[in-house]
Amino acid sequence: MALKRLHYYSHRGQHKHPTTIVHRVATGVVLPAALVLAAGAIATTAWFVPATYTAQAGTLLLALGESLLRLFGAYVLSLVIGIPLGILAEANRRVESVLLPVYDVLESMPVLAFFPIIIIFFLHSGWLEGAALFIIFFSMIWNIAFSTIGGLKQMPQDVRAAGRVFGLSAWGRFRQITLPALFPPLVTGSILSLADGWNVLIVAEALHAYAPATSGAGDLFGIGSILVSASAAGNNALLLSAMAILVVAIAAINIAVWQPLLARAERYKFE
Amino acid sequence: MDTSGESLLTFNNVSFAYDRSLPVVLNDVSFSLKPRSFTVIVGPSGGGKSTLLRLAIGLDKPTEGSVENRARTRMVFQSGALLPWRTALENVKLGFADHHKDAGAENREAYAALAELGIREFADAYPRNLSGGQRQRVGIARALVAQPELMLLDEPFSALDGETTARLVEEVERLYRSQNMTFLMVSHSVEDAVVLADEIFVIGKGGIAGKMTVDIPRPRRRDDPMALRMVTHAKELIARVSH
Repeated sequence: MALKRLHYYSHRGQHKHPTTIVHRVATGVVLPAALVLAAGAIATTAWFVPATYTAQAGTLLLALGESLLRLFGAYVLSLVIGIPLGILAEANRRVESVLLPVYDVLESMPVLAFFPIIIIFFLHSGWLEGAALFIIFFSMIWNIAFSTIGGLKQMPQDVRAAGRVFGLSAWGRFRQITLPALFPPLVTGSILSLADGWNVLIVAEALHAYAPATSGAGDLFGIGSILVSASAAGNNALLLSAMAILVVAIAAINIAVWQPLLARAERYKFE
Repeated sequence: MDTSGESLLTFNNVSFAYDRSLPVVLNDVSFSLKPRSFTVIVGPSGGGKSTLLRLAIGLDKPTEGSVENRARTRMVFQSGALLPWRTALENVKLGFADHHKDAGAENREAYAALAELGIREFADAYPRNLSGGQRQRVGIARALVAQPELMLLDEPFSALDGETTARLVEEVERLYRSQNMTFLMVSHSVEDAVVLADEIFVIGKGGIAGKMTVDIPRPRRRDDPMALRMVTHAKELIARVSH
């Protein structure tokens, strides 16, 4: 059977590359996983995963699911808030001159430095999960907001005017013109957001490292906290297993979610 | 000065600046359009031609004076302004946005408008798969389905090659003769203006520097001696307001 001809879309480049499913899995999953695991194995000298750790596979998958749910929740929140923030900043020059510098500063803020305060705030409200969600959300939202602003600026003036000329309501213009036009930049922004989200997730789940000892904050169950705990305990095999699952999950999301969305986004781009 | 009378579109002493700190783009412009007339505005770049259309359709508001538009108005944009994620047919159906009909009627009328412009067979094509001329035809079809009384054309031929422009000029001329519509077109081409217009406004330095009535019988040819004389005259006027 002939292999189906596919294309690989890079969110960082304008080009798409011809590929096959075998090539894609090899370069998108096997190679990155092998590289990360090899580096991890060399660093920890754990050259194999002992049989006992196969029993932990279920736990690791559950932890991965929990982490993905956390990421997804924060991502949805960043879309719901980030898109309106972007639209608001682009609404007119005066508003933009005020909001853009504010966004720039907030984006550059080292949110981890404020993490202990955030944890204590959420401890008071009895919702520790909220601290992790908030910090992941805060790392994601700026990519979404700036992608929205960039996308709006790239929209041809004629297209913007067309919606008004043809009598579309404000909601109609948003739904039928603005939102589809924002699809390509938002896919790219989402990829960058998720990448930032994964970075922060690892520490957001290991709350004990950031909260004051008296706060009583424990770790959240997830792949990030397992990585940190395994590393702290010198449990190298568990560390490698968690890393392997994490890399495979990220690669799978790239293939199953981002690649189709990047391919679809091509159709929404203005020439 | 009130110039309204029976006209569809009237500019009364209109001035416009994008910002109070910026120079005025239009200064004290007054004119009116009679029903079923074809007016072309020509002039140097940056002279306020496109601004005038934006004011006519309400995309911008005059800084001073008033614009009275009594007509159902549609606009054809320089770029076509098609949505790349919609097929030609779906783009045309955007023209029904403010007067929805049932889906069957919208489809029939959209197909009819595409057929009128000679691109019925491209109904399912996306804009990226259409030539510049075909895209512009889709843009015109989209405006036509609303059965406008006033059609604004913003440099509709500027991105097209000479041959395509000539064909589309003929198409617009045919539409003008067959439809009960008033046309107001902005163009950088005096030749196109003379072929299409009943009246030419030369705009520059913020105002209407001259008006010319074109009374050559239709259909017109670019190499008609009368047309050539009018082109020369209009170019002289433009040169005068360009300096």
